[in-house]
Amino acid sequence: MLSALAKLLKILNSEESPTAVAWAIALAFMFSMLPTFSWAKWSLLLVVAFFRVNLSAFILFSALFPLLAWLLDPVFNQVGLWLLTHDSLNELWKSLLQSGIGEFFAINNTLAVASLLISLLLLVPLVWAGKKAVHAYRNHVKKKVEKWHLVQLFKSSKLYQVYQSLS
Amino acid sequence: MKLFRPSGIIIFLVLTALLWGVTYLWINGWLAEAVEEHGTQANGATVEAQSVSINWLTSGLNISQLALANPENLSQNRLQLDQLNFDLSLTSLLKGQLHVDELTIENLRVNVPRQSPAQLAAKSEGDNSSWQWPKAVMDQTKELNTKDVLASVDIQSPQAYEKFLADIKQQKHQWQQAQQALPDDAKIEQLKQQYQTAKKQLDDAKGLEKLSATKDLKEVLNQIKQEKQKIAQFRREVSEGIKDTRSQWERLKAQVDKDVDLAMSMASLSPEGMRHLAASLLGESTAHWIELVVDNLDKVRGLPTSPKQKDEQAPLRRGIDVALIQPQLPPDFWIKKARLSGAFQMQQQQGNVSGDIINLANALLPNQPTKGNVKLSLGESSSAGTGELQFALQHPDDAKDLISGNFQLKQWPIREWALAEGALSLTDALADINLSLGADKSRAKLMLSMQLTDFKVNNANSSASKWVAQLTEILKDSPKVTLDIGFEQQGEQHKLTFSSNLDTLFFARIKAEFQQRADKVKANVKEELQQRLQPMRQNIEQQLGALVDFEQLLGNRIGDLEQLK
Repeated sequence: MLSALAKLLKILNSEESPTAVAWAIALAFMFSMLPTFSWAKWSLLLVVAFFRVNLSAFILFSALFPLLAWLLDPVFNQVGLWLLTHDSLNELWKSLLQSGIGEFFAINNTLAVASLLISLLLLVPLVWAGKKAVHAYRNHVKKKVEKWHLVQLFKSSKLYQVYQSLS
Repeated sequence: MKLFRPSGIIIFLVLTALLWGVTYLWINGWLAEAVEEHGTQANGATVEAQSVSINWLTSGLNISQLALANPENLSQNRLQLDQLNFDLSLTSLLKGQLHVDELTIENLRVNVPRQSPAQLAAKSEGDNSSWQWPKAVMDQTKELNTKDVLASVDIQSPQAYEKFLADIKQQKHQWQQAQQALPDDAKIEQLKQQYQTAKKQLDDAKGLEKLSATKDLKEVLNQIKQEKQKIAQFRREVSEGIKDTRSQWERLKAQVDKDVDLAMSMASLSPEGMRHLAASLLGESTAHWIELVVDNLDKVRGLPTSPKQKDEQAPLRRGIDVALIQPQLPPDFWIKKARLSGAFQMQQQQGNVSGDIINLANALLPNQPTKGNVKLSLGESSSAGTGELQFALQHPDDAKDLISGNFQLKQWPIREWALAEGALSLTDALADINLSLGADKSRAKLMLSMQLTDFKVNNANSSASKWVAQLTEILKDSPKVTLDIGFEQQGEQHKLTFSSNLDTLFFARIKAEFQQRADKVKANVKEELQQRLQPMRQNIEQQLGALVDFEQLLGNRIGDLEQLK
């Protein structure tokens, strides 16, 4: 937990572009929400590798968001079932499945379709919110946080020094 | 900010290369070991694969030079394939389901000699088939217990003997009753006295007294005559009665022989029983194939039916699959299409195989039957034998017949056809085979019609039993062998029928052989029955003797009366 906190602080304090960090958070959210049998999940890794998103942030949030994914699981299933059984959308799902894209995204699965659509819908808002949060932190919160006794204590700890030297 | 990350692309390429290396060096080897280990367990004897390789780009699995040894003949591969390609659906694999979009099988060889002997796999319990014949039929007829034979049939003799004895006793009683109305010894003595007195009076009479004495004597003689007639008439009745009873007794004694014949018939040593035995021996090779089909009928029947929609709670991080295009959900194991093509080799003869099998799955799919159509050819192209296999497994909602199939071979060259537990074989034969199969959940019917022609007969064992030698002679004289086997299963009941053109010939030849054995058993059965009936027989003989004595008594009385003239 402490190392995760240290990692988060390091990312936020670094000179890395806020956009790169925000994209990393948004993509990590998407990666965590998608089930393992959807190829969209594994394609995201290529996107992260090929584009300049913050890798550390992506890894950190990919480790944190699965907890949220488990909590949201029943919601995803309800939404997915509603979408897949909605009469007006039936033709769309059928045409997607027949085109092969549907199988790639496991479109006939409630969890896969709902998590894909919800995380796509939340992608831009999450990037926007992430950027705002990084900016806000760096401009307003960073100095205050660094004055916290807990943070100073942590920064003076051997663990943090070792971590600094390694990273 | 630059959009792309060159280091990421390089790392990706390096990782891809590493994955390829690991796959090539390690995973393929591990897969080959897994195929050989699990295959050996399933096959019952060594399974070998020259190489197993994964193609990540096409999500394909390729197995080359796959050989399945024959557990019953370890120096032979029962099946050998050049190439086996699985076009896998990786999406399904990630869900824990094995879906093969297309399975391609190239070049198929059956019963190929191995370079080195195979090894048997350790069999788990319950692998043995519970239904084994004709061994069971043979074992049943090997030993016969005479008491069991008698217990198994409705023997008429004891009841008939008892009835006969009761009838004799009743007859005797009736005659004794009737005899009371006839003159007894005292009456005869009295008549004798009267006769003597009347005769003396006649001798002593003089003059007119003689007339009166003569009249008295005539009256006595008339009385004697009447009594004598009564006794004689009764004696005739008794004599005729005794004669009838004796002939009945002779017929009754013959009932024992009839009962023995009946017992022998019931114990399968009748001509029908021997015929069945002969056909069983002829059909031994075929029996294994039928057994295989029947065993697998139960397995197919046990397949679950794929539900139209899952209604269970979604497991965490698995979601619920919704049937959008197909009316049913996909099963866990599903080969959507299997394609066979290329060379076909069987008993060192070359041919071709081609065909498709669709929807091989671990569940019966509604509206998507498992169907197969495979064509075979074997032998020289100008006179090649041809074969065709057609089958369909259907969901219970789609059709009444769960399983239907037809397998035909025409002019199929057979190098060797073993008979009589391998004691002799037919070589270089041509076979016409027609097997039809139909089954639903509770009933199954299988009909096999087979004809072998143009064969040579080889007696592998010169010291084989006499009847094997006889069968060899019959086969040498016969231009063809036909065999018709019918199998019906209704619930737990099995009915098996056999007929062969060799039945009559074979029966006649082996009759003498079996007759000796039958006669021995027959003698034992007869002795057993005789022992059981002996006390009753003695009783009947005594009663008959008493009747004769009775007749004799009547004769003596008539004799006594005849002296009075």
